[in-house]
Amino acid sequence: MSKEYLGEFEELVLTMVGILQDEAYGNAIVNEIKERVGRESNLSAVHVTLYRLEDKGFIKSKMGGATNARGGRRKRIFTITNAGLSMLKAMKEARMDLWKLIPQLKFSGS
Amino acid sequence: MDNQYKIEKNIRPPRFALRFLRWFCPGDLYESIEGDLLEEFENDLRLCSIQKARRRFAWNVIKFFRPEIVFRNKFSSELNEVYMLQNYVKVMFRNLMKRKAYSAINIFGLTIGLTFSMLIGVYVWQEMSVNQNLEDVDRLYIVEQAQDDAGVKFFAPADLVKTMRDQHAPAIENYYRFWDRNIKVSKDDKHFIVQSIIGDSTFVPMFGFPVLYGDINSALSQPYKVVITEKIALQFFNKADVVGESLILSSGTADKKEYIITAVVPALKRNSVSDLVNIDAQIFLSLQNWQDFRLPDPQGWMMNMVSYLKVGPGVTQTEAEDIMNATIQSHAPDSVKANLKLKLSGLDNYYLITNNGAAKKMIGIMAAIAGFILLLAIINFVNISVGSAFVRLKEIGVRKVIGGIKRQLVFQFLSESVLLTLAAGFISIILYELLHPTAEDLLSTSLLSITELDGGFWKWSILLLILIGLIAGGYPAFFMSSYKIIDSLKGRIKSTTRVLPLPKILVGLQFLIAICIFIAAIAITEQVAYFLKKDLGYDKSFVLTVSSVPRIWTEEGINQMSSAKQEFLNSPYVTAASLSWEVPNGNAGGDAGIYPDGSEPAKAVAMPVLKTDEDYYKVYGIKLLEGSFFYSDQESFQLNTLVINEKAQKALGVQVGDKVRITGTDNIVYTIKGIVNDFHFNSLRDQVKPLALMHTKESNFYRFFSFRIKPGSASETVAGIEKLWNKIFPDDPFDYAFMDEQLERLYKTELQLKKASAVGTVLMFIIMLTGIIGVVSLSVSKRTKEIGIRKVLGASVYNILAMISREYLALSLFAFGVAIPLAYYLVSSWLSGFSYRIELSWWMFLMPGLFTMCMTVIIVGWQSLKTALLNPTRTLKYE
Repeated sequence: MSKEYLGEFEELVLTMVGILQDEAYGNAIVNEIKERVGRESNLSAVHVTLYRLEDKGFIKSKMGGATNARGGRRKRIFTITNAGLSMLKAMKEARMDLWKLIPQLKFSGS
Repeated sequence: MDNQYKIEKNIRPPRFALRFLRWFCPGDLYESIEGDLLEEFENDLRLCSIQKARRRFAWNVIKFFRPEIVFRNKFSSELNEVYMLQNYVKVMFRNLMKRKAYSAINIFGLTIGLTFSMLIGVYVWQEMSVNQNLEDVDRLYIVEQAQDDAGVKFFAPADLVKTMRDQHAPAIENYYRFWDRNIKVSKDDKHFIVQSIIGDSTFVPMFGFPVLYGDINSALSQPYKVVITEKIALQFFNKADVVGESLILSSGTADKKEYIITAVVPALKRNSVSDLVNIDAQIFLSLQNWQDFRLPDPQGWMMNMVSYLKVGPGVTQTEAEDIMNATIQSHAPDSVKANLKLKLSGLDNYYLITNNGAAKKMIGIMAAIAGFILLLAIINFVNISVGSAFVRLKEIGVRKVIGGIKRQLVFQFLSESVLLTLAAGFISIILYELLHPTAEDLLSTSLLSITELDGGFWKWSILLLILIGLIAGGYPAFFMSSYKIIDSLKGRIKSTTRVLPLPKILVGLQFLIAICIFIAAIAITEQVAYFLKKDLGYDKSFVLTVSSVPRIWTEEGINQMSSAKQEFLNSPYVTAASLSWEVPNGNAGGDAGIYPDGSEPAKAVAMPVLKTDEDYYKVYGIKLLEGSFFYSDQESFQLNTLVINEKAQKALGVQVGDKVRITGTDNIVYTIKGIVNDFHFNSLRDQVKPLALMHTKESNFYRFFSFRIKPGSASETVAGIEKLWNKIFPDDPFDYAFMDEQLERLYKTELQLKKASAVGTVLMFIIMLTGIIGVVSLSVSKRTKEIGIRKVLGASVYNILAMISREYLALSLFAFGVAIPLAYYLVSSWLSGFSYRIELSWWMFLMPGLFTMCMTVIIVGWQSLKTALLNPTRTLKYE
């Protein structure tokens, strides 16, 4: 699946799903992104991205238990799959490899 | 919990948003999405006002309305179709490339057909949208004479519409009346003769014409104000915003007056007000200036004006006509009442149906020609697709084996033909843009550029393109997709004879249409030539008419023109000259009812009265049969004299010297001084009618100078006269036309038709013959083995050629046989619209037939010669 490619926002959402573990659902991800990256994201955009990631097999979902909040509606909880995890890992490594190739002018220079 | 209570009871998100979400959101996603939205709503409630939170909730719902959500899990199977579509396009291109000649014939034919149709289509579209830009056009009416034989139909008593509006205010909402005049407009050293209409101040408000600059409601409410079009503004000032500037208008009384420009309008879209009978007025003046243009007082029931009405909403034509008739009964004087029969014609379709529906007929014929050309192109497409089906049989078989169902194959072939049509349509649009200036010359009308066409036109064009694609692809699609798998994989086609009938019928149809149109084109050409060549009862050659005569409509002015006339006569170029209101181009100044002295006004014969001077008959070579043309050389001019034509003499039963009267001025007795032959004042569509001529000195009105010039170099003569003109009238332009040119304008529609049918015929033959090339070469290529065997058995090349061309020759002969009565019927019904027409003769039918058959034999022979010459050992080697 080397051809499969993740967009920047997809990667961000996938990471958030990994971070949030059992609490990964639409709103929580929006809030998490705002808290950790300081970026405003749209609920519908997050949902669409989640479904796309699910289609690609990087996450899977199940319905959570009912609560009293949110009008009694159940949450759809997403969890990261092994494929998703290895994809994240691969992307991180690829980026690190590239990062190492940048001449570190600050240290070698003056 | 407290919060929760609030939401449940009082503060709820907008109901419509929730309902909308439930409507579009797929069931399995619905609960979690709604939950997330509600949670966000709760958060928002804590942060901002209730209204804002509700607003944000609605907005968030709308943001979820996106294809990824709405169509999720709905069209998953459709994904395949998209890939299949790509495959179809790919295969289509491969096929097009593999068989370039046939593809070229297809696309070429379709492109020619579509380009021609588009040119005609834009013409038709423009004709159909005349008057459609007027405000509330369905409530606008023009008042017309109800009698069929009335000369000029659109004149009504000046007081009629005004009285109607004054007395029946809500039902009759508004009125507009005008007279038209050519006026000399000057600014500094620029002088132009401009068509104007002089009418009520309701001009712009009633018809809703757009305004670029100035205040329109008050634009014409005062005298010495003028509304001009942008074109005139640019002509005189080189800029459009000229409100407050002034122009000098020369009126009929020789004095020049300054008029203030109060509004500038853009070029007006064609309509039956400013462009009635193609006058195309450019400046608009107030009726309050009637005296300055020597117009009659626009009041009373004796003076006629062009009159328009706007009825109130919901008022029907019959109701408005009832009001009109009641008004005539209660207000008109008895003498007017007796002869006045009026009707209302809606402006909505006035342009199309006026003049016996001339525009409508023209549109019909043009559209038919374009439609037939398209039909021929479609037939080519069908024939070539069906004829080359065997090439694609294996593909069809393979597609079926791997699970393609018939519906998909039909879809494949249909999408191919629609795509091809769209591609041809795209090329046609480019060609249209390149060709429309040429077509404008050809049709002597202006055609819009593609950038100026509105959305309605494109919507119809695209629909039509898709429809054409479906028609063209329909039969081949069903034909090819219905092959049995085994047959198609084996490449076994049903024998040629069983496949051929349809293409043959279609080729026969092509022959039929092409021959019919060819015959019609010949007949139209002959009729137009007849129009221009026929003896009109006067001599139209070597007559130069000048329309820009300074208009000094007083006795003084007439005297001034007489001395000018003498100067022209002294020049070496002119043998006779005449000052008149009319030239014989069908455009008469006005009708009058004439009756013999002693008879009753009710028995008056209506006839146009031309205003000419005593030399008119010399310039135009009109034959004087009896008496004198107003006065003989021994006499001098007397008032109250008339000259009439033979028809009028018979209708009135009078002789030279008899007295007649004219309705409206019943107290004046006119003496008949002379009788002239029945020359054709109107077009040859109509019979010669009674006609009278009155001397210009009776009214002091005139418009034209007509000169009979000496035969010889026309340009030299015109230059000479122009030089003299500029000497005599330094302030007036020299706008001239030869009489023959004026007459050509009279037959504009017939000339358009002639050109369109000629071009149509050529294009049809090109499309048809290329189509036959395609069909013949396809059928020959399938019969190479048969031809080889025939040659082995002793057939000569000549035998083979004769065998193949015989089929097509028979087909064209048959089509010719059907075409003769059909074309005869069509052409004679067209000709019956003209009072003076050609006799149809046999060669007009024979020539197209022979031409078609010769071309067919040549093309079929040429196409099959190659195969016929092939050595049979080569064609029969592989078996």
